[in-house]
Amino acid sequence: MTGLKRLLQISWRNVFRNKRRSFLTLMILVLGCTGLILVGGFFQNLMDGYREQFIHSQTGHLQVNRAGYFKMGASAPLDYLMPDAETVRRQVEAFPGVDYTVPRLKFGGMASTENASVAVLAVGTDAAAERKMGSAKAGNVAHSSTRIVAGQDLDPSDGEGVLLGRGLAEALNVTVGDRLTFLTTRRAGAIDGSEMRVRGVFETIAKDFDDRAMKLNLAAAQKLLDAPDQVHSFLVLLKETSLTEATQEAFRSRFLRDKAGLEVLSWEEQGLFYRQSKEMLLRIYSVIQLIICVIFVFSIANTLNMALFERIREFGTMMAIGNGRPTIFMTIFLEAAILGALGSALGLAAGVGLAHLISAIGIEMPPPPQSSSGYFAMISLTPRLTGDTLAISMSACLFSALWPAFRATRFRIVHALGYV
Amino acid sequence: MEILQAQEVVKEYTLGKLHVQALRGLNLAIHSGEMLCIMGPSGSGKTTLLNLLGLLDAPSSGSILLQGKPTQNLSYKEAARLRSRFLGFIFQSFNLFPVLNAFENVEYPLLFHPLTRKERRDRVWAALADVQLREVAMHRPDELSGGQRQRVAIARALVTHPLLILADEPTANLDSESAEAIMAAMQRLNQSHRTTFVFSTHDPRVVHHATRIVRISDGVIQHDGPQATVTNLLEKRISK
Ligand SMILES: Nc1ncnc2c1ncn2[C@@H]1O[C@H](COP(=O)(O)OP(=O)(O)OP(=O)(O)O)[C@@H](O)[C@H]1O
Ligand SMILES: [Mg+2]
Repeated sequence: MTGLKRLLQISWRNVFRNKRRSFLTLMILVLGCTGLILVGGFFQNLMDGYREQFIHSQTGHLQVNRAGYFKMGASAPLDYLMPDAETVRRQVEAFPGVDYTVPRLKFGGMASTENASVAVLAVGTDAAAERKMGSAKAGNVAHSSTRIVAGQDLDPSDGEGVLLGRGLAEALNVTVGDRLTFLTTRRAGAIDGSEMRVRGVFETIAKDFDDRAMKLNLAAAQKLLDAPDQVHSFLVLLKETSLTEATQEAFRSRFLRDKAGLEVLSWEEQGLFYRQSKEMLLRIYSVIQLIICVIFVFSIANTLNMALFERIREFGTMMAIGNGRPTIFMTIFLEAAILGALGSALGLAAGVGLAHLISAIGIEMPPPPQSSSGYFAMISLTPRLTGDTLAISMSACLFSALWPAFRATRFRIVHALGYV
Repeated sequence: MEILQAQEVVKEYTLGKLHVQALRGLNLAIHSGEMLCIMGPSGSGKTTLLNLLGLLDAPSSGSILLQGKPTQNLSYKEAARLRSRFLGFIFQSFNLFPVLNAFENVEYPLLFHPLTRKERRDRVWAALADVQLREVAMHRPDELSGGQRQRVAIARALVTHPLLILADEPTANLDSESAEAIMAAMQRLNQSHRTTFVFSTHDPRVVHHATRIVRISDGVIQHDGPQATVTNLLEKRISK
């Protein structure tokens, strides 16, 4: 033990023996760690932004449906209507962590004017809740799931007023105030028609959705389908995105216990767009990590190799005095560990400090898709990010010490002693 | 008592196709309490012999016996353990650890011995006192003169209480005054503590500190006898 403590002391002093060289090596570590923190934190912030945008524009944190709706609902929407919607809503909203819900009733139909007929996806919703969800501000990024480009948003008191997606409005060649006929199939197979009036035109992040979507008040949709107090889904908005998994589990076990015949999906399970964006950023970041890791390995190995040859005679002396190979190995290895620990600590400190500074100022970003205003990105620090950065720089240092340290143990004593 | 023996020792170096026999069947027995000086012209095999005696290298044939026990086929670890327990080394260029001060340099070999902190410190102070360096204990090697550095090295070799201390040209890097002081220090230790020394030298002026002189040439012993005879011979030659 005394031996190890003294070896650590010797290695520590050796680190400061060639000050210029150690300083340069430390600088590389510090710059590398700082870079990893800043880039990683920036990407994290972008991903968090994407995530919140996705949640608030499309899926909510959780989506509660009749069991099977997510997979099969598109082909037979009427088979997956959720009865007693109001009871389910109250139950869901009573869960801890739940902020509010947005109902959804989705069904197909045909919209016609004098000139055109277009297949339409009708979405019955609660205008107020939808607005609340859409205008959520997560972090410093405002998300508007739906932008009204003409006319006005839905109003429950305007029963026949509907919103059309921009593409759909163009296909039907209608503008605000125009009338149209909507035909849909009811449960018994009866076809029912209804007169609607275009109250507004909207645009979302998804163009294919805008090309065929029509939004109407939930009550009007229920009346059309002759499905009072029934919906397909409740989008559940939580107080915190981090509660998603736990709340989903809580829902699952409750639904299972009550034999409620309900399923609950998280935004992540539906979020192809988010997953792809995240995947891409993670890939880019891995490449950056790899490059920095390689730079670390080469610069530390170079430093240690130079130290090794300057001190061959010292190693010879240690061997003559009777130090075993593990001891010789440790002197080099500990030196790398000390360099790594110092460099990482300084680098993390610099990275975290700069991250706070940059976040306070903000990075001006162009408007994200379907948003009209730019925003300020920040550097989001996570324990994972600092942990990974520390792990990368430490393991790069220790890894690059392996070969020089091994070489030191293989010197022949008489050669090492005679080395000048 | 014979503490270290070389029996029919041959050491051959190979440089490409060239084979050099540095030692050619050399026999030597070292007794406890001796102050043995190995002399010989450059290239005669002094360093080679000391390396073999110090278990730093292995002979091509023949054997080295430490306290009567053969030492061939030792693993690196076993040889290191024997060196650490039984042998001390002094080098021509001192070989102190530059990042450690005099005290820490002397203490270093003891770190790998099972001693308490107190025992260790006592021994270090005693060794430093033996070479009269207590007052510079906290100085780093680059703050010491060549003679002082070599005395630190002597203390470092001494501190483990080895069976014998091997010194290859310990005075070659020193001016004659310091060289004389180093030899005097070694002789004092030899006389007061009965520390066994084996040293090599080129310098006839330091020879008189030895109790026994071995002269080698071309890898074999030419002469082996007590110091007096050699000095007498030298004196006779000079007077002729
Ligand atoms: N590593 C080696 N490889 C090849 N030949 C060697 C090696 N070491 C020593 N020799 C040769 O062995 C012979 C003895 O060398 P050694 O160093 O033992 O002599 P020495 O008596 O110590 O000489 P000096 O007084 O110059 O120190 C010399 O001929 C030398 O060239
Ligand atoms: Mg020599």
